[in-house]
Amino acid sequence: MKLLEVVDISKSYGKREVLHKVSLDIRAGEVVGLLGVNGAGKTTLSSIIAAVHHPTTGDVRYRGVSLYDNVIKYRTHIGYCPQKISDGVGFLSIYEQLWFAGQFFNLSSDTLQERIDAVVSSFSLKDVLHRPLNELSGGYRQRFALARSVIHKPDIVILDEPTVALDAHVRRQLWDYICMMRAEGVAIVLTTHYLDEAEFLSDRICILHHGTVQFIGDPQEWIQSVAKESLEEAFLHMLSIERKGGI
Amino acid sequence: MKLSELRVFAMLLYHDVYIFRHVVLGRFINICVWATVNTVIANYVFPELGMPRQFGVFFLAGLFASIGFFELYGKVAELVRDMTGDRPLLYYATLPLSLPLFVLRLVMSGALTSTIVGLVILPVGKLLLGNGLDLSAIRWGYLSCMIVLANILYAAAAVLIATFIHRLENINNVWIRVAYPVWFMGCYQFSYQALKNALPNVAFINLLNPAVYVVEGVRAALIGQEGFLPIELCCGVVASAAVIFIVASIISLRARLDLV
Repeated sequence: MKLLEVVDISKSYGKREVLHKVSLDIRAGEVVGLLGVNGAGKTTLSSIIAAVHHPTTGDVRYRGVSLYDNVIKYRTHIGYCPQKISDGVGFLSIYEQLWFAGQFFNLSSDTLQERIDAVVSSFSLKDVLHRPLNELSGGYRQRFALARSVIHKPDIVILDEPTVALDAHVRRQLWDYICMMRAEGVAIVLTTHYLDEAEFLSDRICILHHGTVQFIGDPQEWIQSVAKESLEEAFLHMLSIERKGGI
Repeated sequence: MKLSELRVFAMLLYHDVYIFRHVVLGRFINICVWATVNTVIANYVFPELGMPRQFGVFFLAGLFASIGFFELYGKVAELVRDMTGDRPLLYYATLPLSLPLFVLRLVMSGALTSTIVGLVILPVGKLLLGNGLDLSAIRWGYLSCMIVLANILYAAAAVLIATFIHRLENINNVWIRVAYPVWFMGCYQFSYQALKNALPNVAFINLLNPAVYVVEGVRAALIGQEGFLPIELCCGVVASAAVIFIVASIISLRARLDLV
């Protein structure tokens, strides 16, 4: 079932077009990886899906209805996990932050307590629950960021480079948590620079290049279509074609 | 605007004040140091240069009115760092509340924290000035109104100024070229009447400076009306300026961050 449809989205900043007629759909319980080099438009696309930015033209539909008909209501159905958590909140413990995050979505006291218990258990945060965020390692911080993004049980979660600057083993741990979110039926939009991560996690990938979609579909399908062994090799192949003037 | 949005807004304010309790002691100490140095010099050193004895309380009132301004730099720096860096602020833009409330939260939490920090001024002033500060002469209603409005005005100015700064290192330029002159000309060290007597044309132009009304209004409430701009006028101008700055900051932040 299509949960979200991105329909012919273009986005311009002045005369510079960063997205050109991008269309994409996202289904419940799948991970869609947005890939591309810096400036390809993946962050812009994910922030349009997060209802932070407007497209210049085109529409985004949630369950068939334009999200711009009722942005506030749409936001109750999405979760957003930024690259970095604001330094200002570092004094607060994980519990306090989760409590506030639930309050921001108007959860009742009982529901909020249930949700805190659930995400603390799911993301293995029990041992650090009452410790301030700024005392925790990068891995715990990102684990918390994931937990915060699903505290209100959203249908769609937007992950903006969730494992950037983390050690390889910590990244692997986070992948497991992302897989768990998918297994719970959450649709995930994953923006990442790590191609191994995209290959491991994504059910489908959307390759953006200069603001246009180069490919949408199963990563293995794309890898095979260009006769390469991995997503990284396929991606580098695409860039080498561009250098030769092919794209 | 729905009740649920207002609840989120109220919760965000509570969140900001809740975080603020971790830094409030340090901020109290900052203000105590600043207030002590200024008031002692104004009250005990300046009279040696021929200034009147009550210059200490005059200065203290200016200081009280300027707390929001002193807090401005940190708030602008924080916002600029946020907007030019990884933009963690955008998490709050994904919460279920409208853009005006999103911006109003930034303004009101800034105003609230400045108001809390400013509470320390009067006890410190009383301690330093003794009978020089007559608490029974204070018009508390007007004083509260002026302080709250002034802090809202300065917090809205912080958001507005931040939207125009695209690089963190440019803050100092904006401060030295714009913010500091506006504050310095805002009657912090002199009264509007004194400026009018000395430089009438400059005083006339300075009527466009909202900082003048902030300082004059607080002095009128703290010391007495004589010699200062009418307090009702000050309240009206500062309230109007605060509304204008809030609206401008909503428009400007929307444009800067391209928010829905």
